[in-house]
Amino acid sequence: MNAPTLPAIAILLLAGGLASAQSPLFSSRVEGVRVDVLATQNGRPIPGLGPADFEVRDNGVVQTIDLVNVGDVPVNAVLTLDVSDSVSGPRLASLQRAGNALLDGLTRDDFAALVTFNQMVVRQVPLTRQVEPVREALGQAQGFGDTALADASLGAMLLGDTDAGRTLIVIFSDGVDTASVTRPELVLETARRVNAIVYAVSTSGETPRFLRDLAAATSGRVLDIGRTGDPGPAFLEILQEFRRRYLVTYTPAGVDKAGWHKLEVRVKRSGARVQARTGYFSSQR
Amino acid sequence: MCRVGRARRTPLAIVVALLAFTCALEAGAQGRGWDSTFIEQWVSALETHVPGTLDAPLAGTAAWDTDDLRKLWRDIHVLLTLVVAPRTTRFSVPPLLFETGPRSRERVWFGLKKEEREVFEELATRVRRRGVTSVAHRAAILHTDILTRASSIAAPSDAAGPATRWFIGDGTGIGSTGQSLHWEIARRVLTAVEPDPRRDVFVRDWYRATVAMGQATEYFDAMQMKQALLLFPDDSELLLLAGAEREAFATPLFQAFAKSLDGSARLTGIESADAELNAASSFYRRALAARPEFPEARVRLGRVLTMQAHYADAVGLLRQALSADLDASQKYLALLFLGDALEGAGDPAAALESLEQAAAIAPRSRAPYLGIARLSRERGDLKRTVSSLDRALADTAVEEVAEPMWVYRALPGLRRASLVDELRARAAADRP
Repeated sequence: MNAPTLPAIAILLLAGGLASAQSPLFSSRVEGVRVDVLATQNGRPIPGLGPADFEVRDNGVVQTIDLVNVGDVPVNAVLTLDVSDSVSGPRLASLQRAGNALLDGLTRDDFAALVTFNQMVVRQVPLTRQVEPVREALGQAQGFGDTALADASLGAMLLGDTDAGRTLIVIFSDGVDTASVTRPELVLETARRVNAIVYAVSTSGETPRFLRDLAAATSGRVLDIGRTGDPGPAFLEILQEFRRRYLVTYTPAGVDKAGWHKLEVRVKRSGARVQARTGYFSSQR
Repeated sequence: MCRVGRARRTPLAIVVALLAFTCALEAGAQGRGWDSTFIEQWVSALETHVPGTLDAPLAGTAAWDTDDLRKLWRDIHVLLTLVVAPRTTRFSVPPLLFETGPRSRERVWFGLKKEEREVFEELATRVRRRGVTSVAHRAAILHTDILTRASSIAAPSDAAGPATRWFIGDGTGIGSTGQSLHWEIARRVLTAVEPDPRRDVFVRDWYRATVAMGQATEYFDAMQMKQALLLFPDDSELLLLAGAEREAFATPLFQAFAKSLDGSARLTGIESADAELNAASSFYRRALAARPEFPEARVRLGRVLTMQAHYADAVGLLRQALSADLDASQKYLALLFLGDALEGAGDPAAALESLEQAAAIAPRSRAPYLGIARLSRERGDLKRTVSSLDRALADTAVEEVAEPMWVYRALPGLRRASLVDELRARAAADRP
């Protein structure tokens, strides 16, 4: 979402290579701003929208839309799973099945990564097109320890923060944060700046406010499946919904480049509802 | 009036204790069929128990059930009354120290039968001979040892008793047990210390040690804390522990637990997160007022002020703390918190530097690297972002990570874990 400068992208390529040989290639479209948009009508995604159907205001200035993609941009799915003490036994097994179901839904062009967390946040597998290592790590997960939800969210967002493809962070947690070091407000601040959409699956019965705020900050959503719910259907619903989101690209014009940009996105259809970021931060001058 | 405790039932579970305070003791219930066994065995146990060991006197006392302990409570009160006032003929058993239920004001007066009085007078003579203060010290250690060395056989209170211990996990109660009367008996006996328990170093150190011992296992006993502060309101160590307790209560873990209960503040004593942070801040400030050179209190207050968004004050305090001679873990925490405060104060470059210093002190830690990764990204240093993220999210065995923040709530207790053993040694040296 942010619009890094050309030198920054060069560093990003290098950094990506350091992180993993299997990291996705990064886009060279550095001057554009990409806005991930979920457009719905009567609660259902609207198909077939093009550039003329959207209106984007950047700091109040109407922008010319260059491109609208849907479904054809590879997904970077970062599975971020709570493996604390309370997620063990049958719940862990259902979580593992849900993770595998989501992996089944990825295409050959998509990437997946696995982050697990209790009091310790661990990148089990970096972004990769090969899902087998992800499945293997998922199968080896064990439930123990406390819950560092904010730390894990931050780690996952930074891990998935790339200009290539579209990053979907799927966070599963069954309880409150008991162990994070990072203050939630700092994580939310990062959420407003990174190029990732957070969907959260909560089983707490009463979704923690942090998760709701995090999803809202990235234009994602929280699915509360209750204390005994199976996360499998929720994971699949998330992936299906994510694939129906539009990626609206424009080149900012008529606005100062540096700083926070307020975004307003609408679909020019009666009754259409839009879920998109409320802004982005650019360091470009 | 309530009490809240928190501890780990297992290394990964949590216990919370709270008191409902509705059950006054049956003051004169033993008038008929009084059994001298309990008070006689108790006095003998005080005289013969070797502090810190699971010996026969300890095991015998630990095996008593709640009814036995209630009888003992009554008898101890009679005994201690006769020790200081031998001519007393009418007695009334006081309520438990914090009891505020409607029956707590009921006082039943009773006398002693001849044979009963003879037993008490003989025991009172033994206590006076050894000194009531020495006996009280040894009693406190005896009951502490029961709860720490013989907890598996120590009887909890019945469900309607003075305390309930709640196990909590992921922010909700997952079970409860009764709270043992042993703590209450130890507190009661220590009130008999002469000339004044408030001027007795052993009493002060017993409260320091037992509160710290609880906190080391994340067991927060607000009643013990409250009685400690009633006796020693200006003790910097106790004030620090009190601040740590309230800081813990401000965390999402305790907040979610409190909200999961109806009438949470009344039942648990846990207030809102803001109120708990205010309380923590107040205790830390009092600790610093009592002992201006107390870097541990300064470090923790700095964190609380950051949580309260008082960034400039936090920066000043933490820098002041860092100018003192801190041990490695305190220095690490101070730098970590300073990084957070500096970022809040609008100086991300200095924040990054502080986090890097923290990471240098504790290279096997995790916490600084997430912050470094985040701040590096903000600055466009993507190479540093990735390398720090690699460290923060590395797939390392848990036991190979040394992260003080994982035990932050327990840290003041852990740092004082040897106090109980020191007290035991002092009590052993004072053996009659």
